[in-house]
Amino acid sequence: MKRKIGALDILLPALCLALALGVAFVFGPCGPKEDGGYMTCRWAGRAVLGLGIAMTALALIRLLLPRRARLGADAGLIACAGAAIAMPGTLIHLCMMESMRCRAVTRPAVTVLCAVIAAAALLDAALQIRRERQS
Amino acid sequence: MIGRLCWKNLKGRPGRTAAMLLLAGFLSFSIFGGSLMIQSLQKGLGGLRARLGADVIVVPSSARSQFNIDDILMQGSPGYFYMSADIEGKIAAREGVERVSSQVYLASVTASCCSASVQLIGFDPETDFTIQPWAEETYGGALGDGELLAGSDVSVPVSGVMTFFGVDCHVAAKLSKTGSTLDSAVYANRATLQALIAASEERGLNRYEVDPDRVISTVLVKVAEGYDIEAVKNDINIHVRKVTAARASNMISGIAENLEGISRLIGLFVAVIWALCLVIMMIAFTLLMQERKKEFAVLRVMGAARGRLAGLVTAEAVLLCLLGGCAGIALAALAVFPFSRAIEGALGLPFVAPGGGRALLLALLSLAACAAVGALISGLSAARISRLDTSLILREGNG
Repeated sequence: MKRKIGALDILLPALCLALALGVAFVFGPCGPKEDGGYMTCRWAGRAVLGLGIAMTALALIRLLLPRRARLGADAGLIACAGAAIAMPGTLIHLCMMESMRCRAVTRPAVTVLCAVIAAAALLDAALQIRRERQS
Repeated sequence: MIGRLCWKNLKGRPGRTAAMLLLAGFLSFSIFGGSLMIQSLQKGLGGLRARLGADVIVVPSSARSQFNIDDILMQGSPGYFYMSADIEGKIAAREGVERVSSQVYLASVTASCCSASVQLIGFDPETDFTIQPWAEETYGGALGDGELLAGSDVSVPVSGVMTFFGVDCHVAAKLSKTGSTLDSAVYANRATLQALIAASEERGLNRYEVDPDRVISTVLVKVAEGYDIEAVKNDINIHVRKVTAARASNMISGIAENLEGISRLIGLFVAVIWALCLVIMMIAFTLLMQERKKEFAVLRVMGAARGRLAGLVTAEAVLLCLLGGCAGIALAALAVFPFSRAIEGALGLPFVAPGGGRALLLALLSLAACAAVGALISGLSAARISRLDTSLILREGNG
């Protein structure tokens, strides 16, 4: 039977890709210091980039999985989104000033995007469970 | 019954419903987002006005040409100018002066962790009336030697200790937010400042050629009740040599003008979006009603009263506007609250997002406005539809 592609099937990989590309090119952390050295926020950005790539891969693999296995992929996406939210600021220190790019732009953008990914994955999981019960 | 029917109607046409939700979302996003922006700018300016605290600010006259309050408050570059510390006493002796307190601006230092520039400001905690009242989170006792007050943008480590030039300073309190570069400053008493200058010179870092015990940068003046601020300012300008006094309120008038301009622009932008959305919604509802004429005629034949039909159409529109409105409001909140510091940086104006209660009130008002628009437009369309002859509609296209 041909599998129907829903809105969430497109939205989830797109959001994960937006996280990876965004942290690399749009809302990345602070640049190098005057002496050329990097601040710790750079590594927070790198960690989120890594998670973003892994999440994109997971969201794409999810499309190939049978319905029941998709629940596991959704759970994985939610866990990764939580880890990505904690990465800048909680797990890896950011710069000193709230007005600096890593605190003013990177952290809120990562938080908002990951919260939306987690919410979408949660919704998808709920829909899977409902379909499972109906069939 | 009406509720279930209109929910089924909306579910039955997902494309049409999505388009209408999008319009309603735009409507509420623009009004809630716009009002949040305007409120945040106004709150920022109000906070800044209150935070300045002083009626008159006195600077060395040699600094007047290079002194721009906008630079201090919004650009974080105060300019380094100094005058003899005994001027503070001379100003205090003038008639109408109730309190004076001096401050010393030191060149900004770079924190050890990152490229953040921290403005060091020295003040006298005993005479101060403009900084300490804004302490929001207190970490312990009055400000002593080796202790700092941190602006709200300065991220204080859990240990409460910040290190400058190898000197550990305990953060005594964090100040409330102003939305200006005052938030990125740290404040210390003269003894702490001396210790930091000595440590900086020992390490061969910044060379500060000032002695905070002998020089000051500004004197903040509180005018006694019953005295005219303008007259006291003029009196200082005339009788105290080598200084220039200016009214604090005049100094931030430039910021206030910029803020008014931006608020007007945002207001205009919101009005244009509203006008566009209203026109589009009116056209969309009219077309929808034309498309659903037969459906309504069948309902009429089945015995639905005109009022019931109008109620169904209005309920559908209000439901759409409420759902779309909630989404628009959530989106606007996600765009404004987490990014308030980035917006502040981009605008270069004091920006303090309103508190939870006020934001909730704004959200409810925006939602109500959105629902009212939906009800009004759909009500008009429903009235037009109910005037049509049912038999004519049903015969249309069957001939």
